[in-house]
Amino acid sequence: MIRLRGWDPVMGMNLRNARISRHNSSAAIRLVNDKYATKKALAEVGAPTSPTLALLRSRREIAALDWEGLPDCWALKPNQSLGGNGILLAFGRRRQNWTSSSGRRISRDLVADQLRRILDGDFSPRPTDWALFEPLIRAHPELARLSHQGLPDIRVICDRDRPRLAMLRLPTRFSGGRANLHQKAIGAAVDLSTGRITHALVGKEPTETHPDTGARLIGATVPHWPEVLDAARRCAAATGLHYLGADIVVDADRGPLILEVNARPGLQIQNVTGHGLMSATTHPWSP
Amino acid sequence: MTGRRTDNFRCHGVADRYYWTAAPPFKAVPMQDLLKYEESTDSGERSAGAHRGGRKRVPVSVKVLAAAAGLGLLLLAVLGSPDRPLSSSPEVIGEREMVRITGPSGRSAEVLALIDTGASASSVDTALAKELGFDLDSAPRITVGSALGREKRPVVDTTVRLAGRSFVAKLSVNNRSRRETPVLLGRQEVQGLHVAVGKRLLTQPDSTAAPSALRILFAKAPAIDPVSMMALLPLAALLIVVLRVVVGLNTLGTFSPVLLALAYAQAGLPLGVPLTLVMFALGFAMQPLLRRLHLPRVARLGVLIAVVTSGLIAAQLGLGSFGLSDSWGMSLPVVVTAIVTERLWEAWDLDGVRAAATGAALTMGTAVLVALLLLTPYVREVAEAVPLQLAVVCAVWTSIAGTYQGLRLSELFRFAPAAKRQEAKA
Repeated sequence: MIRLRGWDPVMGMNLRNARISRHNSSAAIRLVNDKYATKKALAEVGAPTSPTLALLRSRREIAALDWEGLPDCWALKPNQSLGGNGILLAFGRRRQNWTSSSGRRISRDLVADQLRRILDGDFSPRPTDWALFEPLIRAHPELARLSHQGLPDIRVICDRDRPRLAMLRLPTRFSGGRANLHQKAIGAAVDLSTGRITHALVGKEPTETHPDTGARLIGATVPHWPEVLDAARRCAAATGLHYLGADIVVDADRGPLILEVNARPGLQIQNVTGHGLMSATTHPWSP
Repeated sequence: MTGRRTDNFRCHGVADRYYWTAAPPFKAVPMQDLLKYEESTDSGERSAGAHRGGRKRVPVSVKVLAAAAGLGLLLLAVLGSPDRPLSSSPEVIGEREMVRITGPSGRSAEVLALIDTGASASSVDTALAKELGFDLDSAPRITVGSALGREKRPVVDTTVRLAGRSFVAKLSVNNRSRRETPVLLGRQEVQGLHVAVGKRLLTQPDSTAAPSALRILFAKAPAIDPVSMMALLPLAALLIVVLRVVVGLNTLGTFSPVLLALAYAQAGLPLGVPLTLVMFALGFAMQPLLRRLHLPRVARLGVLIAVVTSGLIAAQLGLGSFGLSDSWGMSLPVVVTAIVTERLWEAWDLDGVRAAATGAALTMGTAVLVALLLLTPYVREVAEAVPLQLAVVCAVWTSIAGTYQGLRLSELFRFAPAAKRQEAKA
């Protein structure tokens, strides 16, 4: 019986859902499901986000798109997609076309096709959607060194403006450049006070180094850590969410940027950090 | 387009207002204060417990044990439910009943019989008669007039056992392989019994009690009539809620197992499961093609529905009307099958073969479980006797089950690493 007390701080799906429906208003959830509106709200409280190069809301706007005005590197995203679906990345320009991360050609036709699919809501829970062009984010060299392709990001669980747990998600070859933990990306626990990595998991197995790059993870530090925490702390005020997961990337030039704010953050962070969310989120002034 | 745009702006407006009025204003608390607090909650649960005014928290392990015990009890109740008479009096039988017929050599077979009070005489399928050991060549012949015209058929004397009664019946022998049942009992044979129109499988050959859920599932016979089905739907939904909230089963589509279960209850497992698998496979084979056409999701689903339906019609033409005409054509939830196939494909795409296969297996397994629950004699009796009360009670219990906020049983595996490390720290 005594040995089972370790389960008490672990938060399950049921409790998480109850907490979200109690603390996160539907208006706030609607706001964070809309990336464009979220970015505007974040900018209002001075939180760093990636600017929008172009916003396309209808097929007519595809025809009117200023192709020459696009930079060499960009990210094309659906406004409301889930789990990073429907994203197209350009890493360089070759005459009329762009190139992907592996150097494959991205023709204008391909981009236009992707735009049409995004507007048709192929990647979104709604029947129609908008498409956003953003400048391509390049990972900070300190983080790029730890990762295998893809873009590492930091998930910070916040109870209002208080960061509770943080982890760094590093893509692996197996995860195909995505930072999704269930696709075998690495989850690394980050100490909140120092930004140092204390523990890392691939799937369910603890690891000390990145399986693809061999880089040592334990003891590495997330660059610009105070700014990362500061960005995470502004999310509640910007969005109105009381319980949230902020996804933050550290850009090589621009520093920490909030990629998105989740109203329903996952629970896997408990396994990664070895901390139950119950102990991390119950505090005297919590209703 | 304009309509949608204004709508969207209004939604932003609401969000903005929410932000200005209700959102906690951002205050620059010194980082030191935050982190000091962080350290104090590191030891976590003790301070939280103390803060709750001395109310002792029930350990999670106790909650989980209680949940597991409750589920075990439910499963035992479904599988071990005693036989009980479904009809008000022992003289009542349904339109289709299981009968045991015995041949001259003492060999017997338990088969489904159509009780047809519109027919005067009874008949049996040729293949079944031969199997039972009747010598058809030397059997006496009679002239039978039916909707197909007049014909000469051999006639045999058999012992028939129906609802705990035994009687000798004269059965004419003809080819019934393309009919729904291998035996038809006319009104001569069911004298003194009442036939409840719309009800099926109310009795067993040896007793007036209804057959068990498992037997019906393998009998290839629809057993639930429309009225009880309405009352049973909330019960099925309750089971799904319990499986999701307490056990943590994730199926492809929340309530799709219920619709599949209704199909299984109507058509039986031997036909239902293979046909579902074939439909899945068919839809699955079509998916890459549909993706290559860059069709929008709606059109993809539309085509999938057409494909699944074509598969059903083909199966019906191929297998003959036997067993299919009444059940599958009507009861296979075509739309649900199409949607589940689409989900299956998405799961395969995102999470790999294993996750997709697990999802499909869980969906079908849950469907079988739900079908078993719906066909349990006790449940059928309650649904027939007090359908309204059952639906209301199910609504209440579903809302009670929904308040369970403890760990799901599947999370005991999922969060084992976190629990172990919390343990080590304590």
